[in-house]
Formats: sequence, C-alpha cells, structure tokens
Amino acid sequence: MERNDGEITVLHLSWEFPPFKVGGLGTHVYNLSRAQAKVGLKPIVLTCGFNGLYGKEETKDGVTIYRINADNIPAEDFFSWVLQMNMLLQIEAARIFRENRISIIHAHDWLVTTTAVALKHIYRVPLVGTIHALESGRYGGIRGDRQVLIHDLEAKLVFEAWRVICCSNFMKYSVVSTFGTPENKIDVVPNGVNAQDFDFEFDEEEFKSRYALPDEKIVLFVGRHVWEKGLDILMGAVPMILAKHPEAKFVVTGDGYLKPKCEELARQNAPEGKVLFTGYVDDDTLKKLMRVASVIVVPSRYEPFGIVALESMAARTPVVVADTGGLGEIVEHDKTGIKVWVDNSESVAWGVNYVLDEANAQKIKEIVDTAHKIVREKYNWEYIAKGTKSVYSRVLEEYEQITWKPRPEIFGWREIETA
Amino acid sequence: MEEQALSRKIAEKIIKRLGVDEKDIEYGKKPKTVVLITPDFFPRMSNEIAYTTKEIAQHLASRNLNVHVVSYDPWKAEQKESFAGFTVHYVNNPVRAYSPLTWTLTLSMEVSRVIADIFHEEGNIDLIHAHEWLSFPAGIHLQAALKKPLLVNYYSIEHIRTPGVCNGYTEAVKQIEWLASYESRRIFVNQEWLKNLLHMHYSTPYDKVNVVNPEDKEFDRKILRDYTWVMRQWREMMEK
Repeated sequence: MERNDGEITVLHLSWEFPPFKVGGLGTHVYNLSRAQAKVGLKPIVLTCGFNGLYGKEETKDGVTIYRINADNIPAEDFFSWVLQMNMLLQIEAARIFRENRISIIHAHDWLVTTTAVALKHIYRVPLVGTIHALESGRYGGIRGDRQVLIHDLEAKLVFEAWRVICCSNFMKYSVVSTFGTPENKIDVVPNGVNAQDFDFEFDEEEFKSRYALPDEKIVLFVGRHVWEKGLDILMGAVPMILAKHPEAKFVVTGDGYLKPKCEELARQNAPEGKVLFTGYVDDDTLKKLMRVASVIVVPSRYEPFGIVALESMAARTPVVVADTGGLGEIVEHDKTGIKVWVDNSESVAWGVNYVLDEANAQKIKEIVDTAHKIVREKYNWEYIAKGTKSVYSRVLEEYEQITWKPRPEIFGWREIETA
Repeated sequence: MEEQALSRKIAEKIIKRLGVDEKDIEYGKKPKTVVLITPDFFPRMSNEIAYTTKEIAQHLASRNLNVHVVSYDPWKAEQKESFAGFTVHYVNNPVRAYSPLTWTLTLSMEVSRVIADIFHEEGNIDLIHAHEWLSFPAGIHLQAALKKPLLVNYYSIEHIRTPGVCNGYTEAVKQIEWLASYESRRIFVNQEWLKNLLHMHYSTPYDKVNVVNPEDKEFDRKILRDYTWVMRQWREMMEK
C-alpha cells in the first residue's frame, strides 16, 4: 500500500487510452494525466486493454495505468458492450481503492458513467465529470433508443458530478441547455496540444511528393467522415476552389460512414486525382501532412472543441474553420485563422481561396505566427493541468466541509494513513 | 456423568435447530446484517423471485437478523418501507434502457448507491445475497468493493430461457451468470435439476450449490447454515 502525503490522487476513468485510440478522448486523458503528474498530482488511469495488453500496472511519466481485459466481451451491440465493460472496470477499481487513497474520481464522458456513479457512492469520494461532447450534438438530436440511453447516461454523470468540466463555453452552454445544469457548476478548461511535437526535421519535398505534385498545394481535411465533421460541405466547395486555384490538391484523412457519399461527391465535383482519400494515418504521418499542407480545413457542423484547429496552429499551417462550437472560440478571425459560415460550401470555398491567394501571403504569415504563439501560451497541457488542479482543490475544499465521508477503517485506508 | 451427556445432547439439538454449529457460537460468526438484492419485490411482483426473497427475509428477520431488501420499483423509488421485521429499499433506473441487459447494467449503479448508503449508515454489512442474473452485476461489484461475501440465487439460466439461441444478448447474459457462479461464495437453487444445469453449463462445482426451496420445512435453517458457513470461510480467507 502506498502512502499519500496530502497530495491529490486522482482516478481517471476513460474507456480509451493510448495505444488504443478511437477519438480524441484517449489522447486527452493521456496528455492531461502526464501533465498532472508534472504539476504535483498523482494520476491513476483505469481503462480498457485490448489485444493482450491488460492486467498490467505500469507507471509511466508519473502516471499509473490499470487496464482491464476488454477483449472478447460478448454483447448485443456496442452500447451493451460499454456497460459490461463498466462491470469489469468496477471490479478492477476495487483493487485500486484498496491500494490507493483516492481523493477524486474523474470520469470522462458517458461511457464510464455507471462505474463513476457506483464508485462515488461506495467510497464516498467526490466525482468530477468531463463532458467532451453530447450525443444530442453529435447527431443533431436524440432519436433512437440507443441515443436515449447515452443521453440519460450523460445526464446522470452531469447530475452526480460535484463539478463538471467542459472544454469550451459552447459545451458549457450546451450542457446547461440540455440538462438544465446550473451554470456555476461547470468549469471551462480547454483542451491542449503539445506544440513542440510539431517541431521536427524531415524532407518536406519528398514527403509532399507522396500526396501531391510539386506545384500543387495541399488542402487538408483531418477527421472522421461523419455528419458532424462536415466533409461533405468541403466536397461541395471543391469545384469553387478548383475554379480559382487549379493547383489545389485535396487530401482527406480518416474514415467513417459518410465516406462512400463523400467519394461520390468528389467524383462529381473534381477531376480524377484531385481528391485523395488516405484512410486513417498514423500520428507521425498526420503531423507531417499538417506541416506540408497549404491550408487545413475544419468545416464541422458540430465541434465541442476542435483540436484539429489547435494542431494546425501548432504546425504553423493556416486553418479555415466553420464558426461553430469550440472552433469559434479557439480561432479569432483574421488573427489566428479564417472563420467561415457553418454548413455553407460557398463560404468554405471563400475561406480556402482567401488563404491560397498569393496576394494574401503576408497576411496569412502574420496569422500563422500569432496562432502559433497563442497555442504555446494558452493551450499547453501544463497550463490545462493547473486548471483541472484548481477544480479539484475547490471540490476537496467543499468536500472537507460536509459530513458525507467514507469509513476509512472499512476500506483499509486507515492502514495507508498510518503506514 | 449421564447428566452431562444428556445436557450436551440437548445443547447439540438446540444448536442443530438453530442451524449453526458449535464453532459459530464459539466465534460469533453468525451474520448480523444481510442485504438481499432482487429485481422484484412486493407489492410489484412478476415471478417467484419476490416470493422467495420475502420468505428468506422474513425468516432471517424472525431470527433477529438485520435484513435489508433492495428492489426495483419505479413507483416507490427512493422510498424505504418496513416489511414484517425487515426494511425494503426501492430504486428506479435513471436510464431509459432498451433491453433487459442494458436495464440490468444501468440499474446496478443505483443498487450499488443504495447498498453503499446502508453500509455507511449501518457501519457494516455481513453478507450480500443477489437473486437472479438481473441482480448479479451489482452483487459482484459490491463483493469486490466492500469485501463482503456474495451469495447468489438462480431461478433459471439463460440456456433454458432461450434454448438454442446464440447471439450477443444471450451470450452476454450467460457471461454474467457464469461470472456470478464463479465469484460468489455459495449458490442457492430451488430445484435439483437447476443444480445439474449449473454444473453442465457453467462448470459450477456441485458442492458449491445448495438446493433450498421455500416449500421445504428446513428452508430457513439451510439458508442460515450456509450463511454462517460462508461467513466463516470468508473470515478465514480475509485473515490469511
């Protein structure tokens, strides 16, 4: 058993964690927990393990990771898989609580709600919940019974959490309007990016030649091919961009259920070879692509935060974003990027053409420099870790003032405290 | 000498009737607080689970055990009722689930919450007794978290409810049933054939399963005897 000398030990519950990644959630928890260790917290991550990577307890960069065996969980669909995975998380959590004096449980999104709520009440430890996105936003409403389930789990997490963290004001007010949560229960702590990860040497010409001809300019899309990411909007803008800038080459990374539709739009709107669908690419390739691109487009319809915009700024590549959600807060028009209207191909075409125009080259360079400076100052993980630390401190201060406490002798914590 | 032998015989008879053995009296290992988890309970009952749970709770309460029953009832959610010497806690599911599986797995967080509150208020729980697979996820979690032994009651198994069906849903339920048979300290069934089925489908050892039926005269004695046995085993395990 480990002794904790008054430090804040936080148990992160996240279904994904590198090397297993589906969306941005795993990367967020990975970077946040590492940065938290640097600012004096003791982070523990409880997550899923796949392909034999489980049952391990590794301490890396100050973060202890517990992975459950999430392979071969039988389930009727993904949602019941998630709930069964939670059952296994709960059993593993019992071990973590026996070995550590946990001060805060930090749950990330609806996928771990049942574990988070049960642990909160069993151990009487305060719960902090981060809402990364809402189901009603992802699909523009709640329709099917699966969506209802997710919506209710989100509501439960928000209700049970001592404080809720959102990555943008847009998300904060989405939570307020969706669940009727009091505004003062929610803290806004942005996402971050490791800007230094984009500073590396490589043969740019050679790398670019894999995707485009030497005189072509890459217009890059990064994201899942799903409704909310708006790839179809960009595909609608393709002919208008090519009319003015025939040297443009569209490179589309990622995958998703809208891929066939977008490929069809690309065939209709562009000559062959002008739109390249790469599928998923690894992190290293993605960073290089961001570096060699002439412009990165984020035409989302719904974006709680918009990490791609930050990465573009870190890669010193101009970014064109739809003025929606968190994107609208990160990017300041004409200062750190170009904002365009939401769900509007003409506007996206205007933004991309504006960036590609040689006449605006000086202006774009200024924008890129300002954006890079802001990313380094405001969106670095250490700054964000300090933000979450202050949320935890506030919660623990309030927690100390109430009688809702566990019985330490029951959980063996007395042994930890007197060790 | 004869008198002493007679006294011992009488004492043994009393002990036997009480359903405990000398060791239990010696070490005071009879459970004090027992929590029963059931998906159904009076007045909202749809099958025999509610009836059996009530019988167990009533008999235990009559032997001065502190018995809490935690059950689902959306109309009585968050209410607590006294019921023939024991307390019934009703919970609701805050999540609108779309299948019995998702209903069970989301309800378990509420069951855990209520039992955790009982635990903190009472200061201790000695045993958790979960009835049917709908209660097993909460029971399994609570055994791990509270370090209190879990006993389970099977009324049927998925193999006989959906014979020959093999899909994600049935496999998931079977997985939960298997996990409960593996994690629990003692298993109760109401028929001999169910004991055989458990052995056949989940490889449950025969001696881990006890057949108890509310119609049986020895019903409560058998339950209490197994509770006491589990308590002793659990304590010895914890001491190690």
